[in-house]
Amino acid sequence: MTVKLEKPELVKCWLRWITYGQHCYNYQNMQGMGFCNSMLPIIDKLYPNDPIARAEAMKRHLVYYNTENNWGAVINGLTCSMEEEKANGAEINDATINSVKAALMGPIAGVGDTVTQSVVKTILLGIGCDLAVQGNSLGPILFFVGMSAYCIVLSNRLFFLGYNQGKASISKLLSSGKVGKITEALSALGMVIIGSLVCTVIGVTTPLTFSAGVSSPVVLQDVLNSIFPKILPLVVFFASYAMVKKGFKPLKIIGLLALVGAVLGLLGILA
Amino acid sequence: MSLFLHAAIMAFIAAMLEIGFPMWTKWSLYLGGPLMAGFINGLIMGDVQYGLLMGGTIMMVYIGVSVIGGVVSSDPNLGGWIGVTVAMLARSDPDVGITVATTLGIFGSLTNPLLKSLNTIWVTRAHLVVDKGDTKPIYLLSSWLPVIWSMIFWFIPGFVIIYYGSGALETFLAVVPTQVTTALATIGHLLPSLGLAMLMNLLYDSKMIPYFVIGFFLTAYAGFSTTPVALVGVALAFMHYFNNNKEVA
Repeated sequence: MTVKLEKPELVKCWLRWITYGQHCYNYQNMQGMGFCNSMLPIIDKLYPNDPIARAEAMKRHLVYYNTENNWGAVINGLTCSMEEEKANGAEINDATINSVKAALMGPIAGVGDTVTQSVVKTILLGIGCDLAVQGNSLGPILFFVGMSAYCIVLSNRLFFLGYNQGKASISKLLSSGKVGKITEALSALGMVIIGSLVCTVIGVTTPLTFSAGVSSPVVLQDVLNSIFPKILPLVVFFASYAMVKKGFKPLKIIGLLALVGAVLGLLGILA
Repeated sequence: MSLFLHAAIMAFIAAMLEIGFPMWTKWSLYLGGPLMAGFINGLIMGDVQYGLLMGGTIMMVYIGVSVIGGVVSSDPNLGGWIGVTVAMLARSDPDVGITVATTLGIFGSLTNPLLKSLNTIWVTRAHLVVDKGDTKPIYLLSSWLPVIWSMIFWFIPGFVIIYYGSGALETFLAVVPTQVTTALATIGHLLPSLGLAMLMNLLYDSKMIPYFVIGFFLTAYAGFSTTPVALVGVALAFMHYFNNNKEVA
């Protein structure tokens, strides 16, 4: 007797992942609780009358797991197909399933974080802000619709890709270099955007003036604007980048920036 | 809408988004918190233009914020749904709003690790009950029990901050010396560098530097806004992709 996973429980698995995946985010197994949660409809379907097998399956997925949420759906889909094979008697043990998950979560997170956060989100948000500050309601609407469509459509497609294609094709896709090349091209786009955002987002200027002996004092910011506009934001950006690169914790960097901002702001050197 | 209800709705949205519900809105409503909160508050208060200006301005500070490995540099959700609401109810300038939002954002990145520690209680519990083979308890532990933390640590403080904070902010702004607001504004101008630096760290590769330079000069010298820069970026990304393919062939 074979059990076959049908559309309803697969859709339920995907929905649980994209809804509750992050709810129980924790230091012990990170997204492990969320991953196990998404597998529950599958486990119920595969082992309707076997509490021991259900317990084993749940324990199998209550382990450390952490990846990028949207792209990560491919791993949920893939795991469903492995669980199905296992329930039908294939020689797949706990270690096999977990090593596939562990092997994929890192590379998937690398691609996903780059594409979702630094490219798609930043661009849609940049356009949304542009429109919003001009007083156009389309800004927030376009951003929300665009971002949601990206998350839902992408995770759904990848989930079913993972389920239908199996692990061989996923590993092949990752190692073929095509994903890597697309990610690299998107990184180039991300870098262009970051370069532009340094100018628009870091608002630091200097109120310093010098009297040159003649009638009107020289405003330093005007001089900077004519020689190298936005040099101050650029310097501040690279200072932060150097701290990130050195491995400073974000909170420490926030503290240092706040200290520098407060002191130089009060002294009238920066504004 | 009464202040009570207004504060309750905004605090509830912030509290649920803080634990990632629903996860697919993490990039829109959570990371885009200020922009969306400005718009929604504008609709509620009947002044969409003010909401768009406030939301769009504060959003710029958080635009580069990224969550990498579960670490958020400054929390755009609390800064957005709580900070923007407080600033708008106090009818303050967007510049003051940035300071309010930034302060709350720091509070958010401080409380975030707390959630991850407390959630381990449910993980321990899950390991205790899993042997019975029942899937229901795991579902509850993973989906709904974390909401308890969200209500205690974000809904209640968030509500109090909005309910009393907007009045307090007005009073505070009226009495505080200008030096303090100047210093806070300067801090607000420096902080956005962190989120961008974290993003750059993710993408950095020496061959990517020219792209950064192009983006920088398009805005610094030519004054392009994000939309046209993104279009140029798309063209450059295609060039990069095709050149890369040629090398291999």
